[in-house]
Amino acid sequence: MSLNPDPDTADRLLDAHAAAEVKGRSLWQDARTRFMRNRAAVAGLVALIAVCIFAFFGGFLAQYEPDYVDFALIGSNATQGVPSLETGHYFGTDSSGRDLYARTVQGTRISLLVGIVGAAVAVVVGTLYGAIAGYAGGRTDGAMMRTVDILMSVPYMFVLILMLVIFGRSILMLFIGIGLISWLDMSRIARGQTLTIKGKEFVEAAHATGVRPLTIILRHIVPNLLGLVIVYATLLVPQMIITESFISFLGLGIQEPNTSLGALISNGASNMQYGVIWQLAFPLFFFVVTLFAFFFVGDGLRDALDPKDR
Amino acid sequence: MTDPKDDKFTEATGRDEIADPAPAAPPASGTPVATPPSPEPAGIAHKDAPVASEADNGGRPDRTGKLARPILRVEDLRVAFDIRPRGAWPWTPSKKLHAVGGISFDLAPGESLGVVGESGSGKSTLARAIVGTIASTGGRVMFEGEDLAAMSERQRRAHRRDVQMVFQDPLAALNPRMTVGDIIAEPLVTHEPKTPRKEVRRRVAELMERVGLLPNLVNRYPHEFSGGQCQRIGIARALILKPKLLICDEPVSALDVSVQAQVVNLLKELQRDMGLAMIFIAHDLSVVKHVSDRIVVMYLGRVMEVARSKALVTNPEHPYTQALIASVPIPDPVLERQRQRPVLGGELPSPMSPPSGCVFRTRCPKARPDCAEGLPPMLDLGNGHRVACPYHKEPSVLDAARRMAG
Repeated sequence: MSLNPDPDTADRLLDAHAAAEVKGRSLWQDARTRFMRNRAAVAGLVALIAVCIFAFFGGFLAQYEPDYVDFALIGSNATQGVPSLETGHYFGTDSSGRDLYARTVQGTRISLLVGIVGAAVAVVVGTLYGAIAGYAGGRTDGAMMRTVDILMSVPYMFVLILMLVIFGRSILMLFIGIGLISWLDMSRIARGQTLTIKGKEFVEAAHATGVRPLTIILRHIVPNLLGLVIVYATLLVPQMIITESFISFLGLGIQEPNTSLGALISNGASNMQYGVIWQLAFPLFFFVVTLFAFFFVGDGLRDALDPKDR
Repeated sequence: MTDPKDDKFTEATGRDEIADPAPAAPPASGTPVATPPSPEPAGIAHKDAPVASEADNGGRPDRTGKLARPILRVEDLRVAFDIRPRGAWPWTPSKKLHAVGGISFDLAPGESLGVVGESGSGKSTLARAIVGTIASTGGRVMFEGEDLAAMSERQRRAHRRDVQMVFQDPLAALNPRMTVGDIIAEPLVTHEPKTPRKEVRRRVAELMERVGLLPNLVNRYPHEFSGGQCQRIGIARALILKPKLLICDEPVSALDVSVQAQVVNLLKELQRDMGLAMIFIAHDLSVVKHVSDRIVVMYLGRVMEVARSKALVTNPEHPYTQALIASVPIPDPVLERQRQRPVLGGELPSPMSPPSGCVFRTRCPKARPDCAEGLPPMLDLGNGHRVACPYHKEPSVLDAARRMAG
């Protein structure tokens, strides 16, 4: 209900007395309306949902297990492993004669997981760390943020590769490695925004009333940070996927029989001169669609949550 | 809910929105300096009449300036901020900005104390030092005989329920992500976490009615309200714990003039009904005079004059107070044009390096060389009237203005 004093609204306002309580329109709801008006963002969201459905339920349509090797096809990929509906290899087969459709579903799922886990760690750890540093201020702030500076100055790709080499290649190790680096930027952003919010009168009002510092952070600061954090997180997911793909491309990431989009693209790229271009095309298509969808959604969220900042 | 009751609320909340186009006709008052801030809506003025007479005739514990047992005693309170010069070395000592330089006063239960002064005089810092969101650097704040600064963090937090604050910017003082119901309930939930949800809702609704908001708007968000309504929400939040002391930091400065009158009258009414002690800060002397039993005049972090509000307005002794009162606009264009104003020259000096001796001497029309010597003593003129100027008996700067006004 708008606050325009047209007679219609006035009538409804009177009716509202009889009705129990008026439901307010929160800033989140406002943002959702703005987001829905952004066509590119909505298209991105639809594409993203489609990719997620593909990644998590596409396996039911597959005719083969992702690790089933069809020895008959090895060596004759270019002629026999062609994508076709009849053979059940919708996306064709890879160089070892495995069903590429099942492999792509699996790869998309793992890439999405890596991206989402990395972003989730960034959101939880980074936001809390930054908010605490910003709210505490003074020496605590200095010490916490200098720690972040030091961690940032370490060449993370080098450390990640070393970790994967020393502790062995596993998905868990990859998650740990990516989680370790992803929250640094986020904590800086959250801390900067906290400094702005901290000066607002509603935080002072809470402090004057006797609300505990941790409650102030969780109840007053973090909800007001979330707009920015969500935008940054949606842009962080593709960044994480790219990082993982790069590591997989180097051959250090996901270990067989698991796979990821990066690993599949790497495989496809090394075989493309043998007339099996589909081995590169299908994983690359899902990779690009996912990244673009995330970027569009992130952009739309930024516009929706920050209407003044356009 | 019954029908007649509902109508009353509609009127109360609707007022803010329709208030603007009301013509600002000057009230036909003979005393130029003591006019209320604006013509009040008829309903409110009528409701308010008994309040005003009661405030003037008594019913407050201190009519003589002697307080039985003050609820709040501020002794020589000082607040200084560290200012780091730009690009200074880390080991360079920071400069001190003396925002509040030694303020003392008592406040009786149920009394209302006005604080006036121009921007930068330390009014808001004083309020924040009393509430405890800014650390004081000297002096004591005694609440019901206990030194707030000496308390442990825990005791201090428990004590905060008795002192609540209303802020200047009504919208900025409300968390945009919380519903009005949650905002108002926050102090209650903080100090009495075991209160059942039903009880919390009931008290919030009760209080929203009390401050003139429709109780069914609890699930709305602050940005859906007008400035006046937001300030009512802020007042409701401050009152839900039934505090003993309410500090209003320029509660009406950000509001439209006609809405100002409503909010000021609401505060007055609530203060009377709940027996609140109140510190009312504003730079508008006419508003402060309307609300307060006593008024403190501040300049550059120091008290210039303290008196009962009527005495201060009709018979100001300190040259700064006289200048302040002479600058209150007269809502009559003819009189206003004829009036000669003893204009204060110059600017407020920097609080980083306040003038020696009397801080007002650089702009004072009566200043003498010996004003720079030492702090002027607080002279007691009797009846609770104190003034920090040894030459206050000299011919008044207000004489001209008073003659003009008749």
